[in-house]
Amino acid sequence: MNYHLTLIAILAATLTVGCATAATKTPAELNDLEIAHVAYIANNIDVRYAHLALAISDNPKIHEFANAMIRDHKAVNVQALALLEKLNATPQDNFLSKQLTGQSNELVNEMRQLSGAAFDARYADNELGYHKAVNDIVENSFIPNIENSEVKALFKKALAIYKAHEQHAEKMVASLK
Amino acid sequence: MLRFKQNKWNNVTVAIVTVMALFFTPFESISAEEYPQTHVIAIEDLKFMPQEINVKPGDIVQWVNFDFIPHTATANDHVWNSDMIGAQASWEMTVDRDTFEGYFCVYHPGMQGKIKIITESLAKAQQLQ
Ligand SMILES: [Cu+2]
Repeated sequence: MNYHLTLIAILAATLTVGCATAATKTPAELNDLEIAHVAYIANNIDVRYAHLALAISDNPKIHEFANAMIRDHKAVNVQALALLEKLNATPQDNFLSKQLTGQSNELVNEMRQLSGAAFDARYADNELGYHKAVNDIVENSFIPNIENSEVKALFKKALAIYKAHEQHAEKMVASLK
Repeated sequence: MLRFKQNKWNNVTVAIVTVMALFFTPFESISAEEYPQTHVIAIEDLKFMPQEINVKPGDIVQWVNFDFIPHTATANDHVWNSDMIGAQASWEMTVDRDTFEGYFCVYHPGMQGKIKIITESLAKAQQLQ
C-alpha cells in the first residue's frame, strides 16, 4: 500500500474538483485550528517513524537522517505549541488528522516486521513520499488558506525545513540503490 | 568591518548584517585596513548567508544560527566541524591558508557554503583588475 499516494489523491481531488460536498471536507477547507492539529500530528508521525528507524536500522545514513527528523519535527512542534498558547487557541481534531494517524499505525506495523536492507529501503522510500505529500498539502492547501498571519509565517518556516528533508530523503533513497 | 561583541542579535540586526554582507563581501576581504577581520555568516531559513565569502588567512569566520532548528557548519571533507550549532547560538573559527573551503550542514546536506581564502598576492591581483 502506498500511503503517500492516498495523500496526493486527496490533494488532487481538492485542487481539481474543488467543489466537495458539505459532508466530505478537503484539506483546503480546514480552519486554522484544524490545520494546526494536522501539522502537529504529521510532525509526531515522522518522529515516530524516526524512532523506529533508530531501533531497527544499522545504517549510519539512516540514523543521521532519522536524528535530523527527530530534532527538526520536534522543534517545529515546540514552536507551534508556543504560538497556540500565545494565541490562547486549542488545535481541533479533524478527518485528515484521523486519516494520517490511521495510515501511520498501519505503516508502523508493516515496517516493524522488516529488518536490514528491506527496512532501510522501505523507511527511506516512505520518508521521501511522506515529505512530498505533506509538502504538497502544506504549500498548496494550508498556507494559502491559513487566516492568522503568525500561524501562516510559522508554516512557511516549517515548509522550508520540510523541503530540505525531502531533498535529504531523495539523496538517502539514491544512496541505498 | 562587521564586528560584533554580543552573541545574540535580533532578526533586524541579522537582516542588516546580511544586507551589508551582500553588498560589501567583494570589497571587505581585499581592503587591508583591519586585520584580522571577523566575517559573520547568518544561518536563516536553511541557508548560509552570504553563501560564499572571501576571507584572508588569520580572519575569523562566525556562523550565527537564527533558525529554531540546529545546524552544523562542516567542511566537505570533515577536517573542520562546528558540531551542533543550536537555535540562536553561534560558532566561530580562525581560517588559515590551508583551511578547506567548501562546507555544508550535516543535518541538512542541501545547505552548502564556501569560504574562499584570498592570499595577499591574489588580493593584489584582484585589486589591479
Ligand atoms: Cu542544517
